[in-house]
Amino acid sequence: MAPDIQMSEDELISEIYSAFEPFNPPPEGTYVNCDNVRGRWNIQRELGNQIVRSQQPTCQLYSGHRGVGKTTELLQLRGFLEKKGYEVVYFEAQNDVELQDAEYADILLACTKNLVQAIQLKGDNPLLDWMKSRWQSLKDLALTEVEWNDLKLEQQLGLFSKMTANIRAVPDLRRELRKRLNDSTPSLIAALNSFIEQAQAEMPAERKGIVIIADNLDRIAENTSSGRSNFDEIYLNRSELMSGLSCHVIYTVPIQMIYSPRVTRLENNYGKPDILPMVMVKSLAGELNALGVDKLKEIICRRLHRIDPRLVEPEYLTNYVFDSAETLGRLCAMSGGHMRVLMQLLQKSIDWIEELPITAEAAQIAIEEQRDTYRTAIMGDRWMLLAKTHTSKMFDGEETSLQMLLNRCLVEYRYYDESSQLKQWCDVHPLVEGFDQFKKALLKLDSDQA
Amino acid sequence: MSTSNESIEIEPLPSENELKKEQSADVKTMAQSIVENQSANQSGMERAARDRINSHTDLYRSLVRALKRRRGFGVLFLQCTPAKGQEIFLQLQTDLPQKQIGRLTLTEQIENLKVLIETRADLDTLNVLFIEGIEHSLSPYIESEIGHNDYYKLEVLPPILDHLNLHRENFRNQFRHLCLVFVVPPFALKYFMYRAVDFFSWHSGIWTFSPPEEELTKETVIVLDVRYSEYLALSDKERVEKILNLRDLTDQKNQPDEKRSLLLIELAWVLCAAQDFESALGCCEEAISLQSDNEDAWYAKGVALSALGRNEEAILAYDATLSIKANYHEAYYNKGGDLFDIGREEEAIAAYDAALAIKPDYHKAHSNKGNALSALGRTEEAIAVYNVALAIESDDYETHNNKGNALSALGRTEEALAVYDVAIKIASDYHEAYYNKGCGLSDLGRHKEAIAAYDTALSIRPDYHEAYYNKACSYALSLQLDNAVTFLEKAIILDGINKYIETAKTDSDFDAIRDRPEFQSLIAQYEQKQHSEERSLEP
Repeated sequence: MAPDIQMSEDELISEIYSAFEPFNPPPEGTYVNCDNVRGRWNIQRELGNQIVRSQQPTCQLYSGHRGVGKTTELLQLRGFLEKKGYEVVYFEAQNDVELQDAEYADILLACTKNLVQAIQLKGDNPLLDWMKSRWQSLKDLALTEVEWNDLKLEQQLGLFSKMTANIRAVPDLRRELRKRLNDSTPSLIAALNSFIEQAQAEMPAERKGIVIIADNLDRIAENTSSGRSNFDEIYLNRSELMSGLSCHVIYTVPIQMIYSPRVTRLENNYGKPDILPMVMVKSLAGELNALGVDKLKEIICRRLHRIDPRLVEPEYLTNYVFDSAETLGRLCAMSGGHMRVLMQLLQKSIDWIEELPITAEAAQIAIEEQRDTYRTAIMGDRWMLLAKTHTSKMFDGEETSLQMLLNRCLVEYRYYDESSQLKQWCDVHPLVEGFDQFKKALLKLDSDQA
Repeated sequence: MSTSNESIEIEPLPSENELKKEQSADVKTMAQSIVENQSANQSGMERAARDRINSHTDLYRSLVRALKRRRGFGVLFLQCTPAKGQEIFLQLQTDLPQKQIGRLTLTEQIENLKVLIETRADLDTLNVLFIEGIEHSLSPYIESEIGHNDYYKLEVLPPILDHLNLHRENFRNQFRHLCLVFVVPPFALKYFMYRAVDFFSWHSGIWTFSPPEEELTKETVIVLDVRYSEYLALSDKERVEKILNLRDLTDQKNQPDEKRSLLLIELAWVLCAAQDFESALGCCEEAISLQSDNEDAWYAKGVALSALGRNEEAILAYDATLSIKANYHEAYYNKGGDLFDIGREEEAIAAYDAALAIKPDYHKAHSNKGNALSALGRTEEAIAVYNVALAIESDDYETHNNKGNALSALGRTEEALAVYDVAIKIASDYHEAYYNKGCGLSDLGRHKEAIAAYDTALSIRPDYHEAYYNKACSYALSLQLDNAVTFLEKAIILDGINKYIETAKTDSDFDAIRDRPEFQSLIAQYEQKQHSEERSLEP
């Protein structure tokens, strides 16, 4: 029986389908806190409290696997900090930085641009003074012939955006700008810091200061063509400058860096980087973890609830929307605790039904289709490695294992055991377990060991 | 009506059943690994799901639903040949009149897709945009390196993938109203998966329309023609003895490396004949480690990899073969097959041409080249090439059949019928040709003859449910209600997974009898049955 909803069934299916877009953060009011199934990982505690408790500016690194909810968590943090009275400048790096060819100077300029855009100073702007004193040398990089004094104030402020935009579009300019910026980095940082200090001084007493959050920097492509890695150049060699701003900063960092031996140097320079783990849908012993599965169900229900509260009432949820509680549970379990995979499984299941409910058959088809993607992602010679990890539940840190971790054939979970020890463990994605090649590799591993 | 059946000549490899024949106790362990039945531990539900995914009709319907329900931005992938992509695009124009579907066909390399979409005059009116030919921006970056296993992991990153990866948010924010459908060959999809991970992970689905099964089982040319057919004829016991014998010889301490690698290649062929390609591959690798410039070892490795579906690695192995022995035409031929499988039809054609430059009368190379041309939608050229193949080997009934299908695709149905007849004359039990002939006859409205053709196909292959289904269509079109219902039911029962219920509900062939109670009750009966089966399957 359908609940009495003020839209046609076609519209309703469209609504449900759209609630699970793999590329959108959760719709408003549907965020679910998953701390207790992510090894008590909590962005507020891991990153937020450091800022709140510190008298000094902090600089923190943040990373996580693709599609586990990184940006969702960052947006949560933004809300938390704003409530606490901070001025949060959040930006997506790809708009200001050409990520495939990024260097430190580009990131500095991007931070500068976003600060200038977000915060209006009442008094003299030290950044404009900085720009003015270098105008002759910077003019051609902003692609204008106009003299400084002929520019109106908002035009002067807009120059930072114009510069980042030009640099992104024109590689030759990028090189040239970096050269000039590198020479005057100390003076730019000094100007930026005066800007920040002035801005914080101008704030009302109850306001707490500025936090810059630079998202999507983790998508910088590693480039070793100059003989040095640009990752090292940015995060390690320039770490003093990166953490030298007079406000709190959170930079996203490519996950490959965290999983490489360089992580110790990162830790020395910034403190331990934070990685968002998967939702633990199964236990170390391989059993279904009901707590984790329930969290994922809650995520689904919140989104359904937003469409119509009646959809999540027991008589409709596993009768009208899903054909049974098993179907809903199975989709959650097969996601491996990975948010985006869960979204994809749900959309796929809906593709295979003409009308509600989402049937066990449709869910199975969605699972099989998702398996095809995983199968393609696994190169022919990787099955033994997957079998080994499945047996040992340990991530061995090898390059090939890292690739498998990055394309999510391997997943990492963490939890606190009975004696309150943090446990981190690794396993193959549940979708991988069903493959014949995987089962064969397990058998072979068994006989090799015997 | 279901679509026509294509086929490619298949090397007579032993069927699983033959291999599973009685096994004596002492060879049991050995044989077990050889005959392992891939689907044995698949549950019925998994199998049913796979059948639905493999059915082009069902898959297409799920695509229609996905596009119909989507409200705005989205990233979808269609993995198929360019010709199939066009076919789907045209079909969607009819089936989704409520959506404006545009098309962006790329014929050369690009680095910025966003700007191409931004500048379209029809941008604001579109709901869906098909993007075809993105593979032209990827293939220049695939350079095979001898012995290098990482086909897609070279240092170079195609700029277009970088662009998509870095700007995915901008695509979403700027094209809020637009669903992007990438039509890609298999190699391009893998390239996305490995090198544009961030963009790819935003997709809402991949629809894979693979060519018919027959086309995929391409023949692999085995260089040791004579011995290989001997190996095929071995009984399980003889095979195990042969394997042990070769192993013993290989393991002898005083065996020189050169001799040892020859033995290993030999062993690889025995294992290939037993369809144990994993072990065969191991032997080839051993042989190569002993003698890296042995072209036969590389070639055998290529064959094993092809059979395992590891096409990219197979291509590299054939390239290695050819770098040692440039006129190894079998390597070109097999390389063509692997390129075809991953959707690089142009390169496949080049490989067949290279094989033909060495051996101009290689009719199978001509014939497969024809198939690659068909996949590209270059149907007229394909027909010309089939004709060349047939001029060399006029008895090649499968090439006749494929030529018939190409003619049908051009609407030259009468000619196609004549060609199917030629195929039938050569191979009187070739049921695909009868089936295709039936399809052609019903296209011409000659339902009575069509039914006769389907009947012949059914007399050869009694479980041919596609033929039953089409026969039911023909009866429906000639307004013979009872027969239509009877044979539709037959098709449903034989197929066993109920896909024909869904198909029949919308197939216009049944329009004339759709409202009749007999038809309605048949559909209702099986829908109900399907429903109760689903219930009972739940854990």
